[in-house]
Amino acid sequence: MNLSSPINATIIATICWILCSVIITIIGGEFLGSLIIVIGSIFIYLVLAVTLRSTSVAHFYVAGREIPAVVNGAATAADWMSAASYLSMAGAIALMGYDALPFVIGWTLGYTLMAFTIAPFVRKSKTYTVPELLEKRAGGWGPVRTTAVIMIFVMSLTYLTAQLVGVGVVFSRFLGLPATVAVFIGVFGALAYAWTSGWRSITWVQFLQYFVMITMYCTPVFIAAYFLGLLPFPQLQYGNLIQEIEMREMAFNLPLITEPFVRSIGGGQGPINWIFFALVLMLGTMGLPHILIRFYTVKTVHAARVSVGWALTFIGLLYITASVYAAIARHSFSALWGKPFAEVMSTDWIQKWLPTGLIKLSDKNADGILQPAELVFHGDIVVVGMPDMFGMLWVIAPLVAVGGLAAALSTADGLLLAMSTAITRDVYKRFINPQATEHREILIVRLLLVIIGFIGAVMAYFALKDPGFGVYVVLLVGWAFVFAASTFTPIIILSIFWKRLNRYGMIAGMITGLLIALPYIILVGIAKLPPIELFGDKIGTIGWGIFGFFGNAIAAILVSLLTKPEGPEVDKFVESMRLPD
Amino acid sequence: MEDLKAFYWRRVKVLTVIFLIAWIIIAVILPVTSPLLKGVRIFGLPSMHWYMNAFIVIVIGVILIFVYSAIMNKLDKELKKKVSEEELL
Repeated sequence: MNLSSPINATIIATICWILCSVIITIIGGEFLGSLIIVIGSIFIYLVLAVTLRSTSVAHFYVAGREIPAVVNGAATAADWMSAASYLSMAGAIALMGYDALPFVIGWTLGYTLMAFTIAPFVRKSKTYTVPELLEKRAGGWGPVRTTAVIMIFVMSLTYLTAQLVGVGVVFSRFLGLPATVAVFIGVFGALAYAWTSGWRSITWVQFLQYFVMITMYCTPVFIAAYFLGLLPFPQLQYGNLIQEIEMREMAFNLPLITEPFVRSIGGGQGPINWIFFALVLMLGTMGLPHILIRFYTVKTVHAARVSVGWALTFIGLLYITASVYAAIARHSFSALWGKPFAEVMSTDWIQKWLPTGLIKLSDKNADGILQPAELVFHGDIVVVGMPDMFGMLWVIAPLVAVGGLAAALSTADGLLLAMSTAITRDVYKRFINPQATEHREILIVRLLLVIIGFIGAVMAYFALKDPGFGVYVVLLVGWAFVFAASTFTPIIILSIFWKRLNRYGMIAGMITGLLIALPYIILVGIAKLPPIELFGDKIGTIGWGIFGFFGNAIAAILVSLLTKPEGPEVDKFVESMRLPD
Repeated sequence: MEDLKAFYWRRVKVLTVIFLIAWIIIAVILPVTSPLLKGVRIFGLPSMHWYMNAFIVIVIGVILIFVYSAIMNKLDKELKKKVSEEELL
């Protein structure tokens, strides 16, 4: 048997992981067992990454353009689904009901638009990175490339910080270990997988991580669904569960979970903000560098198109399950309403989670009965606490943690590598040392992985130190979408479909988009000034991104029309993107 | 050859517009109008105004991508065939 084959090595590592977990649990008890289960999963990915090591730049930048469509789809899904999707989204739906559904449609339907406006054309451009594509499109004009690199950092660094915060949250929630220390374990994992052969190693690691993530996400839902009689397909059968929740809400005169537009999302409220919020997430999806790069790694244009379909299939599986998660959790919580306080306090899972602060109980009106307002829960309890709500075997909780870790690490990986390759190829190789050897380029990529990883970890460390900041994890990720939607997305679409777009238009568009998005985020999102109202609806910081998107497109078109067109060389490049090989 | 290229790109553009309209329907129109379906329930599913956003549009979104790639891949093959025919002439 060939031990260095990726499949064999991964299987052996997995067997070692299971054996170690069992032995340690028997000797050291449940806590040590959980620790080995969670940390051991990092080790399995590491073994896989090491077997895929390579020193070819094509492997580092575009995985040798040899990834099959299904694998690329699963890797995109893992790249895409972050700690926020895994840990916080179901919680957001449980808390905000209908008004949190923009997360579900917003984080999925961008792929549909991307499938026929961006993905196949990016593959046909035969470039290695998005800044390179844009520079080529701008007739080889350097400033476009530099601006694009800066934009990549603006988007990815906040997003990376959020992922590392997510790793910390996984460790502290499930294992009770300090989140600030866990951040550094997380960043070590992420950069190690990218270290061995860049996009090649992380693509296969992400492929594995996707299946880990989806299995661990669905396991508690299906076990809970068994107790509630919702099998075999809870996603198709949870209507009565929602109805029961609504009856309880009606009994206590609460707004129904399915009632539209009664709660605020992203700092705004009302139908206009609701749909703007969703659209910005969709348009932002299409401009995120670590997602765009995924369409470079497939074998053919045909594979690029199909792989988007697989990506959304895999992503959709988690997203359609999130609302079931939310309903089950809310059902468990609402079952406690109206019960005597003493009885609630003696419920096992309440007792377990009360000290963590994720659940807060206080008999405000001192009537000895739990009123809905007297039970406050944090969104994260929905996923992390589900195994306890139904008294599942202890081992389920660390397995859910393994899934959460896979979600955070796979996304952190993609971001880290997108940034490192952008600097290496688009700054170092382009401007500083065009004669750099392959060996040298790879050395630079690896060096940057460590530096950027460290910066991200330090930022996440401070984010976790300041508890007020932790609340912003979802918002932080949301703002990355605003930047992506206001900078890259319109420019890339115009690059492909409008030949007249020129270098000045591209720069003007990206800067205009950023100038529209950034001040609003600073003033409304951070300085807490009141948001602008549109037809009576408050527009939140994320929903505002729609103006960045259109502002960018309008500026790009106007400036392009006012300046001279690019030459025949660019026309030829555009045509080569449009036509099949 | 130039004719073929123009023909191909025209087809792609038409297809893109059709799919753009389909996308606007699932990503904007259906979600925005979904509150009108409040209280509409089919089998054991939740109320349609909820389910539209939590399930239906996502599934349609996936189907659209696969339909687009099937049509495009067919078109690519057609073009390849025509190009090779032209070269033979």
